[in-house]
Amino acid sequence: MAWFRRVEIPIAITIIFALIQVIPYFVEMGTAVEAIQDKIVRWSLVVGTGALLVGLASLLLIHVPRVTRRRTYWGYSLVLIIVMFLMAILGLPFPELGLGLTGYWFKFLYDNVLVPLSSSLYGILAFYITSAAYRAFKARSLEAALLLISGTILVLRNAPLGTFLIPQIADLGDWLYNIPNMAINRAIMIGGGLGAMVLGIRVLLGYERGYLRGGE
Amino acid sequence: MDITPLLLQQIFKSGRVSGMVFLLIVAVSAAYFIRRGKAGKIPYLRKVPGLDAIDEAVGRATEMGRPVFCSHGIASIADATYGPQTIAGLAVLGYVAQLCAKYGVRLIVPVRQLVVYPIAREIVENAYRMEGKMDQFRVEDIVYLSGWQFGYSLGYMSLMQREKAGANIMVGGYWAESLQLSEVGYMVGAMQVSGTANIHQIPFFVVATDYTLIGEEIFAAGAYLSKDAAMIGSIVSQDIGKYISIALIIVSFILLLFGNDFIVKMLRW
Amino acid sequence: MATSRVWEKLEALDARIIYLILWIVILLPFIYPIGLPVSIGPQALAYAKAIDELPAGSIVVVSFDFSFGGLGELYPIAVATLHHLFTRPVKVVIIAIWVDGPPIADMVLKELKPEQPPYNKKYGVDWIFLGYTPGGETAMAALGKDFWSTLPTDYYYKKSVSEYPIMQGLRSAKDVALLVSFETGTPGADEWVRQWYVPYKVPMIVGCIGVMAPTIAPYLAGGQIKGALPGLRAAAEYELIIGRKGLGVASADVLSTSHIVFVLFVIIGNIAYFMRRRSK
Repeated sequence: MAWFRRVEIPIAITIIFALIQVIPYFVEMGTAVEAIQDKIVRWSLVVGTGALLVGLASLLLIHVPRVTRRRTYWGYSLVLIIVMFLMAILGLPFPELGLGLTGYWFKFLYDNVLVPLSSSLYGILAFYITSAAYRAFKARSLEAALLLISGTILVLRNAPLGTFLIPQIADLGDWLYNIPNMAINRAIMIGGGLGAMVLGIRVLLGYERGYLRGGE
Repeated sequence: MDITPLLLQQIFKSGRVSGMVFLLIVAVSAAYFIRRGKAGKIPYLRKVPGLDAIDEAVGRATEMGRPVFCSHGIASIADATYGPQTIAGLAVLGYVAQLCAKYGVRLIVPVRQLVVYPIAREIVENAYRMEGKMDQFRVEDIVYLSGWQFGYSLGYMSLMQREKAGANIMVGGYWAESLQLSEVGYMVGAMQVSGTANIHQIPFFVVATDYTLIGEEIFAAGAYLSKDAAMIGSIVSQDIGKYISIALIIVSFILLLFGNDFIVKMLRW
Repeated sequence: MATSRVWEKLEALDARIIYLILWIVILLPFIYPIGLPVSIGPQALAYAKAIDELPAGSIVVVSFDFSFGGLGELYPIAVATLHHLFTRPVKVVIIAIWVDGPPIADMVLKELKPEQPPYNKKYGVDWIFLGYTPGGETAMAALGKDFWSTLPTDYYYKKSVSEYPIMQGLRSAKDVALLVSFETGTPGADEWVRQWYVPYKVPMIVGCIGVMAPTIAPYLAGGQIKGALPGLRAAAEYELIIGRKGLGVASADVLSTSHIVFVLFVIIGNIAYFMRRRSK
């Protein structure tokens, strides 16, 4: 195997860069080390931006053949390709041509397409949670019944009509929120934090290689 | 009043000493248990139904002749807080890709983070190569959808509907899209395994999917699925950290009852 | 057998019927408002108190940490909070850690118009809008250390921050009396606590979407976050406290109808489930 394909190299890079970030988090190392830290973070931003090309290539790889071969829903793929390039062009920094992120057309599409789409998609959640709850909130077992009852109390607590009709529901809801909910949250938080910590240690020791190329 | 000893203040950053000590204890115990694991002393690992269900989900999709969807969340791998969830999700992806290659079932991997895209692609490609099924590997099925959260979600939902997903495995950092994806997964009749450490999304997954990995379980997924002795050994150190946390909670509770807040102050060092 | 089938059908009710009914009950109160009273909870009071108790001349940093998806719940909170801040003799510095933050902040500021009565706040002296800084948690840490180098120019005029009088009193997080964050997720409260509360002990209040309530609960109990407004209900409560009825109060009826219908669906689902089992 060529030396540059050896798995030890990315592992070594991971360890070095991770330690540069981790040690100064705890230990006073002075401004010089902090400057290096900042620089590395900036590198990661640059790498992230460079990866845009990968995304572009992936999208074209999927959607261009769909259009050229007139596969099902090819029209949508065509719209995607056109809009992708259109937004990129409209966002180019040439204010004298009316382009750029604050230019009229970019802002027009942003405010009138992206903004309502975002809000609508977020709004869909209200519908999905109702259908999911209709299906899942059933007293099949003791645990399910507890989930059902506590969920219902919190929903009523959040509705002005709920607290208007049953004023005690506010205290009950707050109790559920402040005591059992918090206890469970803290337990999950501690467990999750520890899990992430040990995963980080495995990465640093070179055992967790999922992020490299899937194992060997 | 700051009671951190003066020497500590000069060497270490204020408020972070206790965290560092805790990290060191967990790190040393992880290294120790990894060595033990390598020496053949493998600790007992309880069953995690959610992880065992992955085989069933892929098997079911194979029988139905439908594709398997596997995603690793929407967090960047470079994110300090949520990156580990993506790494955990990628470990699951590696396992799922191997199963899919073995059974000859189509695997679709929706990606949101561009930085993660090449990694996800390599993981899947490598899994197919290891199974000797490179002819079945389809690069266009590792699909970058959108960097915009809801664009990703929308793309994912429509892909599941169009391709009639047979299984949908989601392990990683998920936010508002968690419910959207799992509801659509349910609508198309996919068997769903989910997992996240994002506390506020766990209820949605619990309600809408068949199996849910909660918090720390996703971080243990790589070790659990790999059956690697050293990796499994490292999980014991998680328990060591938990015992220390529980002990600190109980002792500080008792001390506080007597008006002594030493542990609370110590944790602020 | 036939009744069993009816219950079975009801249990597996087509989701589209649920969506249609929900859509109607969300829409109706907008057309025919009911005007139900909203009781005020301790969290909204604590949130308002944190702003009321700020000494004159304090610097408050307001961060827009969400994208357009969160507008429905967070826009009323942002408008009410900035209104409250502009009516107090404090200095307001507006920033964004999310890329969509600046256009949203701009929308809020255009609605309030801080330069005009009743606020009469002077740009650059009483308030400033610094815009977006990339990097998420890293940016928060960098801001904590040094505002001037992390956000070197303001959003509106692209002038160096050193030229504005308000910025003379703000070099690092140590100069900040209160941090206000409007957020839907990450980066958000967790990161602010880590980067601003742990090292600098900056007091913080949070306006967030309803689902985030459990996530921030431990920070509220631990005292890292002084007060929080999770979701529309809290927005309505806060609007009533500060005496400026807005979108939050207007949406309170919708919250009532949609939530009650949600509970009714859960009850129907359970009746169907148990009746099906019994008839079998």
